[in-house]
Amino acid sequence: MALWEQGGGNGFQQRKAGGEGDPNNGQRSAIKGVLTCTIRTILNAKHSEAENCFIYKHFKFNTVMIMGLIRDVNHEVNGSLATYNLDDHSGGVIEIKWWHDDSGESLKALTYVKVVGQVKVFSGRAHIVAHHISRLQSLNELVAHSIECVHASMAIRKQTPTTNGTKTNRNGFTLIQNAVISFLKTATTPEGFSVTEISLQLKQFNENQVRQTLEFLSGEGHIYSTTDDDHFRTANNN
Amino acid sequence: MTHHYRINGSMIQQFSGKPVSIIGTVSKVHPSGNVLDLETSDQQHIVVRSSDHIVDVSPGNIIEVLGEVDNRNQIACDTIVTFESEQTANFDMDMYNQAVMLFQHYPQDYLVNL
Repeated sequence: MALWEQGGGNGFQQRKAGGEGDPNNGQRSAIKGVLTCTIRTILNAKHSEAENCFIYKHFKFNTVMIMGLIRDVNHEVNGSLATYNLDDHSGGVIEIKWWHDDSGESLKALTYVKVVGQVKVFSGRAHIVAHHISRLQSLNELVAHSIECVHASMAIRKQTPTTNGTKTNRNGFTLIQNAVISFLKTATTPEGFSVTEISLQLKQFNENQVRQTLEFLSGEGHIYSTTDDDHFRTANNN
Repeated sequence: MTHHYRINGSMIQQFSGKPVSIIGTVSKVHPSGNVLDLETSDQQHIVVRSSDHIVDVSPGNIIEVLGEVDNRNQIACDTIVTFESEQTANFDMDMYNQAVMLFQHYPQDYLVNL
């Protein structure tokens, strides 16, 4: 499943797997999904221990799909490991490790292949442990792949949280929700603040936006109305 | 290994001196064996000079040329990639041409690594 097909089709959701109490937390990839990208992106990326993934600019990944030209082939004698050096002209060559059985076709230099695999780092150099390798069946795949790389970059860039009011902050609230809650927390009287007072305080939003936010927050239980439907306080655990 | 820009015929001048990748159709291989004429995805004709003797290439073949644009708007090429006929049988050259031109409009994503 491609990275952008997760998250209910909403876009590029980069979800984390495994919670705090997960005993396999250190082993499992935190970022699920496959990133279609260039080899240069992988080579430029740095591994983050904290997030258990590779990061470069707006990209976070562990599994990638790349397409490139085989430059070198190295077969283990009597072994099951084949090593390919792949070049997709993005600037840089990456090593692909492919553990195979004997049934696969042997791949030759100067042929294009598609590789899906996990990025690993060893001695400061990134390489890919391939889950899947296949020869290009059509040159159209190469064009599609190039377009996908650009598309993935664009979509992920747009998905990354911004200071736009409709995007979520780290605690899951939007900018306006945070503003309303923060203001309500400063209330010292039992009746809290009225809609009018809140609107006056939050000059960057109009009263309609404030009312909608209050309705949402009270529906979720973060705030409650007091003396009448226009006065609010935050609930205790906020 | 540097980044090779995907270009078509009309972009050659713009990329003078830069490493490029061009997919096109071979129109002619010169008798010398080191030079070929390539028809690009936007129906322009360019000259490709190879450092090695050109093998396995015939007129009508679709190939990828990797090299640098020289000061005569020809390609000094170090690698020619050939394909099996099944791989290029249904190749949509026009789609490729559109993609190549489209990439120029999105440098932030096409050239995210530069």
